Amino acid sequence: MDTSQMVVAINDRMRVVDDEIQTLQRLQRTLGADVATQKSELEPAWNLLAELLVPDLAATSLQSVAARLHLPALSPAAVIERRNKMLLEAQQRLHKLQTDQRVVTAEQVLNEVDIGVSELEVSIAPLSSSTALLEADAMFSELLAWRYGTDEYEVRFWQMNFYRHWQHGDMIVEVHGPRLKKLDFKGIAAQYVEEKAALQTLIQSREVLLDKKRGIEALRRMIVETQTTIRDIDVVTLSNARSRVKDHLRQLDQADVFALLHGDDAAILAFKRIVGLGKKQEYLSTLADQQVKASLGELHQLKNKLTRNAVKLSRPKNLYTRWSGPLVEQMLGKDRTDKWQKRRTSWNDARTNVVGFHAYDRWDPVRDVLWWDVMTDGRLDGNFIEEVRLRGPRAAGGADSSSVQSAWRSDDLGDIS
Amino acid sequence: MLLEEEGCQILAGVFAKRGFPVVCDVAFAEGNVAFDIDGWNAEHRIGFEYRTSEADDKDDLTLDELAELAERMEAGELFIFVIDDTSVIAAADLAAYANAFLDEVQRRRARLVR
Repeated sequence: MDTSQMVVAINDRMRVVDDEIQTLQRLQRTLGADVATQKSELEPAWNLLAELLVPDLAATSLQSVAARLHLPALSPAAVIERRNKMLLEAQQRLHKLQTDQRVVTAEQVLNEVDIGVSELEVSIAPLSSSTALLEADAMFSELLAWRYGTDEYEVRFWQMNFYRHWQHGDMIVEVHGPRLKKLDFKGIAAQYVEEKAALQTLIQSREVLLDKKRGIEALRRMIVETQTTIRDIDVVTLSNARSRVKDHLRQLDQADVFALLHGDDAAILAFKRIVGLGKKQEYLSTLADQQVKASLGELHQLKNKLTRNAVKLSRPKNLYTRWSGPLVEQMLGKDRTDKWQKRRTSWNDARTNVVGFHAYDRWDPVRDVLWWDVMTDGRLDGNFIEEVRLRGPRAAGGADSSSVQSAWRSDDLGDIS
Repeated sequence: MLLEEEGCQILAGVFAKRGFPVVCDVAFAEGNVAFDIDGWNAEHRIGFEYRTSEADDKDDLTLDELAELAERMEAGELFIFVIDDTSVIAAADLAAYANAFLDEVQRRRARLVR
């Protein structure tokens, strides 16, 4: 093979590597989106469990959950006490808000604010447009900063800026002088400073009025919120009780939660779903952050090597070199297309199995079976996951795995998603 | 923004047209002032100094030296057009400013003669 043929071969190989990089980058983005989806499903899953455990505020329901979770704060007496306290506080807050002088006189004040703001805006508009016209000229602020046209102007005749300022000062007088009825820059600058100060005062006055309006609006919002709390006191109490359950369970070990939920199949299934969603997140993140990311790194290295080799080929000393056997392989690297294809297929299979898994009831917390095996039917190599690697070779195709498979398939277990 | 080399060429051209051909990059040493001036006509004691950070010229002419030169320029002893590169200017503008400077020098010299 001569050098020109080698160049063609290297370019071909580079295209293959680029294609693989792009494919893996797409996979990485897809996995990222999958992880986000699993995360977003977690809170609703916790809500479902809390709803099952605290279906309503009936004394029997509260007694049952307080006893089962060893959570005295959820006893009927405790819950009712908190409810009544919250109701009383809300009623007191509402009374205070409704008798607030700003609320009592709100309509009148808002009317005054609107009139005041409108009047101020009539004065603000011409000043704002007049000062904006000058500020739109980039040189105006520079001349103003140098105090051009006043006794304090310090640029001297031997400095170029003296002539530059002069030129732009004249231009500004020509453009703005007639409008402002001023014959020189000094007059224009003085008027600008005066207008700007007046404008700032007017804007501040408008802000004071608008602050009043915003204050009243905030009070009105608080009134509505408090009225809603009073009206929906039982809904809020129930929601708080459920939050308390979630907070309590989140602090416990998985095994302890299963022990507490013992005998309540629906709640156990809901908690399995929570655990399973966490596992899905873990597996997909590991696949993206370790497997795919590492492979992308290797592909970039290979691409760099091919680029360097292409540069070598362009050197004059290689112009008439003949390339054969080991030299060709050294320049091109081994053709790993098939290996990459297999690897991608395996990752895509893993992703499809994990993302598409919804039969959370198939996992049994009592048996020593990994979620990975449940999600993949024990057919996929999951050694990139620490818990699968540590568990050893029985992960796929082993005795346990086959019993797992038969266990899943023997029942007609539905999809709970 | 004009580069120093381009700026100096424009200024040398304007000065020559107005009857003040300059020598470029010449050592200037008078009183307490010593620096390499970008353009200088020793006969008419007129020149220019293009101050840009590009060639580290700002370090060449200190503020004290500039103050001494300013005093002597106000007295009409010599005239050096000092250009700072802080402003964005076009070639045509630079030439126009140089001409305006030379007009001003002419006026000042005429006043001195009277």
